[in-house]
Amino acid sequence: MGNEVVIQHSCPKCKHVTTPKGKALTLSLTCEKCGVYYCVHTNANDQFLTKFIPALAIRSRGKIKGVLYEVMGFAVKREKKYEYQWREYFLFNPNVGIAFLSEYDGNWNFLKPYSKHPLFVSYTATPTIEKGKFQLYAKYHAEVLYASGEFFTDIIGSNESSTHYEHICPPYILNFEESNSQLGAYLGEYISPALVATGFNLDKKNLPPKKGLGYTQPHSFSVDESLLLTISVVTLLAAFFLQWILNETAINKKVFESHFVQADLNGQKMFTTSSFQLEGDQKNVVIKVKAPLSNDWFFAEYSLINDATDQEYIFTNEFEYYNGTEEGEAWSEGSNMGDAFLSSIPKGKYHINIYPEFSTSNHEFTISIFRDTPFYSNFFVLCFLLCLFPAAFYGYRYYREQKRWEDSEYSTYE
Amino acid sequence: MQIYCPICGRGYAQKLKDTWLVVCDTCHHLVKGSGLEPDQLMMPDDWSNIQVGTTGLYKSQNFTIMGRIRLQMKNDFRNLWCAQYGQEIMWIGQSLESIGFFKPPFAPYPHNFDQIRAGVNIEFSEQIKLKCELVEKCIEIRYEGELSPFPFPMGNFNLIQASNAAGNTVLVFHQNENSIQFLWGEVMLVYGVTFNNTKTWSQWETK
Repeated sequence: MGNEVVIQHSCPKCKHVTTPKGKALTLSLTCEKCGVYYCVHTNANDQFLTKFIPALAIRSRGKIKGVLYEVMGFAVKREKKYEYQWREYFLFNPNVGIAFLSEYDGNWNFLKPYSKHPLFVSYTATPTIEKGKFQLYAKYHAEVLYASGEFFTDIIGSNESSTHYEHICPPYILNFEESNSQLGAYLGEYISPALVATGFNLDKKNLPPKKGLGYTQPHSFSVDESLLLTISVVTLLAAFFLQWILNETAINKKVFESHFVQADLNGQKMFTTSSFQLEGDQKNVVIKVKAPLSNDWFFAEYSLINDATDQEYIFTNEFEYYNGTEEGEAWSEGSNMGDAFLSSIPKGKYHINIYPEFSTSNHEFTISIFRDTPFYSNFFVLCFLLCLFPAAFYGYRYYREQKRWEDSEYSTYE
Repeated sequence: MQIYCPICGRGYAQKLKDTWLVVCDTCHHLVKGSGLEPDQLMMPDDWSNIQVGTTGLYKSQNFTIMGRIRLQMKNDFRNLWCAQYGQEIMWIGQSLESIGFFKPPFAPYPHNFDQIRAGVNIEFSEQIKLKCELVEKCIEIRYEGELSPFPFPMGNFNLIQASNAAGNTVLVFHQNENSIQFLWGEVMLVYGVTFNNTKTWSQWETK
């Protein structure tokens, strides 16, 4: 090609001449000497009241997602209604186009123009693209508090005349800008401060300190929800099936029953049952005790003893039953039955020593002994544990989502 | 037909069937055409990797870029590349991120133009509605290479671009109520099109 046209711009205030790195694409810039912001094709210019120092230096280069970008411009913007501020770095590589790094409270998003934003077609509160279904997080007007470097648009004019829509589907963000003269859209993704620091060869300590959960930041651990639900449901079904098998195969055989009267103690402290046979290895034994109580209690200590080995299993049981009439209405409390559950008792011949404590009104009880009865406690514990992880996961996620949305006026969280 | 630059004497073989303008690549003087300001013949570099002489393939047919009209707006730009497309002319509209191929020639705009602004829908037919995404005044126009006729050479027009999800796009050039022309075409991402004989920016390569 022929001799190249060199593009230069003169500062409207100090007349300092700048050769823009963006060449003809640069439509606004700040004077390197006096800091005045001016547009190259209009007379618009502005002097900022406050100076901000960018974390990524203008004209420094860094790699994001494997692409080398140069920092062309830096802007500090403020939302007009709630007045929160964030910082934007305008990046460029002529081989791949423009991009932005946006930073708020030390949390970063990397954005690129996105021509398939559903709002280009029609308005929807929940735009859906290949990355997922997005929710409106913010709708705002912004103003530019500070700018330095070069820009391919009049960032002050275009920002202040535009309505901005921010939709999120973490870790993604969809931005849409609408003014009377232009529509623009960007698709972004959360990027960790460490990746920004690495990309620009900076110490992470030189980046703004991270505060809280970034509004597009993914959760620190993620679980495949459908897999979690599938595993939980399948395991619960398996537990139900196993419990059903155990119930169906339980013998539930009464191996002993006898009635005891206090008068038969004859001054002794205990009754001794006759021996009974427990079949089947390592099965449970349930001891059921019944007494004709009325406003009374019954307590006894028991010792199940293997006749051959003298192996002893000691347990106690107490129950009470009260009843009466109050203001014409009958009431009752407790039971005149109690039971004790012993698991994994080896087979063999056993007897029980019973050490009863009788009250003044009750003087008798009946004891029944069952071998290999169906029981549910393990099943309920298993169900509880199976539900515990999903419940904890969804609870944690709800809490984190609530935190994520706490700055949004479009939050659906209480 | 061979023509020569009146200033530097460089020779040019006209290739388009309806050449309206030829700008000398060496001295930026008009080789063919008239009425333009000298500044309008100085094409600024805008990092575009497409250039005069770039070739490509569109709908299974080769094209060759012959010239460029650069439209500068306050907040945007469009490069309108004039391409030889078989025996026809094709305009290629390029922005930072998208590229549009406009095969039918400039034509008078046949639809209502009232209250056009970004965000409104333009109804081209019952089936085709386009959303207006750019309405900006052209504040500077530059030329290079060999070009087919362009209806508003001095650039005093508003440029409107509207598109839809199906990839239809229209560029409307609005000078006044009686002078509105448009180009009809197809828009796609610039990175999805393969061009040959392009400029490369080796200092930006990452490998």
